[in-house]
Amino acid sequence: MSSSLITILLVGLLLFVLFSAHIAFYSWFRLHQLGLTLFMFSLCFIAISWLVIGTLVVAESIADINYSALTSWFISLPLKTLTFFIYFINGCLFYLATRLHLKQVERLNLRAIKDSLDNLPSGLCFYAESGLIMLANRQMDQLAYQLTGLPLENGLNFYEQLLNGSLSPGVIRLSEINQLIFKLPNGNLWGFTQRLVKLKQSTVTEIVGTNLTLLANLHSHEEKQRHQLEAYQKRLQVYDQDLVELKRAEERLALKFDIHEQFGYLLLLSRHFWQKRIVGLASEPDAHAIIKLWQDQLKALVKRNLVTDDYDWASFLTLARELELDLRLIGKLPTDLTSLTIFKLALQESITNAVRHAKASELIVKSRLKDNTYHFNFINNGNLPTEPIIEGGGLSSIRQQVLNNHGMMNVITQPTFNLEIKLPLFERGQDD
Amino acid sequence: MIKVLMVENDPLASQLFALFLKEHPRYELVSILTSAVLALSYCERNEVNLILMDICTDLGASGLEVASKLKQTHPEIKIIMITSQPEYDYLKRARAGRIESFWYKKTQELELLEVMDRTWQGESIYPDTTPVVQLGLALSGEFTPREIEVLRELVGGDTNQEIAERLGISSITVRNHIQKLLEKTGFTNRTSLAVAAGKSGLVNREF
Repeated sequence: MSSSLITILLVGLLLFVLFSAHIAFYSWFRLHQLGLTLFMFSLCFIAISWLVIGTLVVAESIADINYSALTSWFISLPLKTLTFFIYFINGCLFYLATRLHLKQVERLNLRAIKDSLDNLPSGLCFYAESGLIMLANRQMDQLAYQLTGLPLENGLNFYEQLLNGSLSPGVIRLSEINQLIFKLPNGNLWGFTQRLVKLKQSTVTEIVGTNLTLLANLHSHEEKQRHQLEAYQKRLQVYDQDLVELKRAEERLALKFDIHEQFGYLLLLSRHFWQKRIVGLASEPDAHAIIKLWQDQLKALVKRNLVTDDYDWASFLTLARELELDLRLIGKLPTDLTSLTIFKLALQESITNAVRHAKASELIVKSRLKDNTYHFNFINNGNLPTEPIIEGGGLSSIRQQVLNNHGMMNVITQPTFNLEIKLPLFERGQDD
Repeated sequence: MIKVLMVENDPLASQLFALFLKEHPRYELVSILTSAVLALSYCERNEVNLILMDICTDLGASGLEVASKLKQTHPEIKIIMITSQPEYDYLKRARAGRIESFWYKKTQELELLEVMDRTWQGESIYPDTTPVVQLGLALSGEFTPREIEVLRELVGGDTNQEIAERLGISSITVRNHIQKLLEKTGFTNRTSLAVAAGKSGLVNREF
């Protein structure tokens, strides 16, 4: 009997002991399977016995003493077959240990998933087509109980109850448009959504419950800020409109400054002339030149003073005469600034259309105030449009202003071209 | 005689310019209109050779827009844009509309007549730059063209998102431009910046 074969056998036996002991402990502490544990301990015990006997054989061989009966029996065994058998058992045990480990890992993963879901702040639930709950976290269980007063047992029934069913006292259903939102008695808001999740062989339904309390608070805060911003913008837009007039006023003021300077220059020039005149150096043409300059400056000022309130209508009439357009007004001009501005815009556009497109010779303007509403009509006798009117910059701008002031505008093309505008009498402060 | 149409809504300015022209034998002032839109009709039915066109005219009518339309329908009419507003974009828009000349309003007679003469002889007279305007701590020349565009939209009181949509850029870019503008001008908030910018005349959305 070779000592090397005995060594291999002993190593195999050692492995046998280790594998079987490992599986025995594993079965007991992890799997809680008593039968498998006892079987493995038996195998382990047998392997230990064989290991002890084999070790005894080796010891007696080294000590060079006579073999005992047990040693003789061991040596007489078919060691090759035994070795093969031991390693075969080891292989089987190794396979078994590996499978058990993998299964445990799988069991750990499922548990970890459940633990993770339970720690989620949102409620989560998966259910099969029949409504059978496949997975639900702790939060969803609590929510279901708070909302319906019942434990979560059937996903279909739970969602149906969220949609239409009765809720626990104190729970308020807020919205059903995009998602179900509920206000709980403690003031928290929860939103629920449902969607289908396709798996390899089946489809499950997922319900997610999300705490919207913080979001709602932020939204409310943002809404307040948005209103404030809109108010600022409105004020800025009003200011922007006033700015146009302000700039015109500044422009006029700058021009007045210039004229004032011109007068100053003329005064200096005149003083200089009289000084020269006193000593007999000033000529007659110099005097005429200075008088001419004074006349021009004074004319400019006088013309400015001729500007009256009727200037606008008068200028329209003058223009109409120059355009060979018979412009007639039936009624009275509007008195408030907003209506007058829109009236002038419409008149300007009507003159342009009458001359450029309709080739008209007459434009009749009707203006009357009835039931606190201005009625304007701009009717020309020109060619009627042959195609539908596409409102460009002019008409669309008027329409916008009319709509902004709660009025209405119609472009009538039969039997004559008639731009009709109805405008409620603007009262200052009404829109503030 | 060269027939001149004047579009000017300020009576003082129009009468002053009328005085300039009255004594000049070459020019005949045929009419004074207060709104640029009416010039379209006027040129349709009357002979006009030269127009002195203000940019900011009555009833919100933009002289620049009308001038561009007139150049399409009546290319033979020569147009001189006149304004006192230092809006950054006016020169560019006037050139794009093929307007012959551009003159910043002054009261000196000779300069206007000189511009008219040279324009009539076929020259195109444009100032080199817009007048420099002080905005907060900065001068108008310190702003980039994009910053001026953002500033122009800001004056209308629009949100960053609305400005971004109009200019075709992201709202974050708009926010960055506004931040740069605030840094350059020293204003502490966008409202102050918008009000000051509108008042300075550097930008003008209306015309």
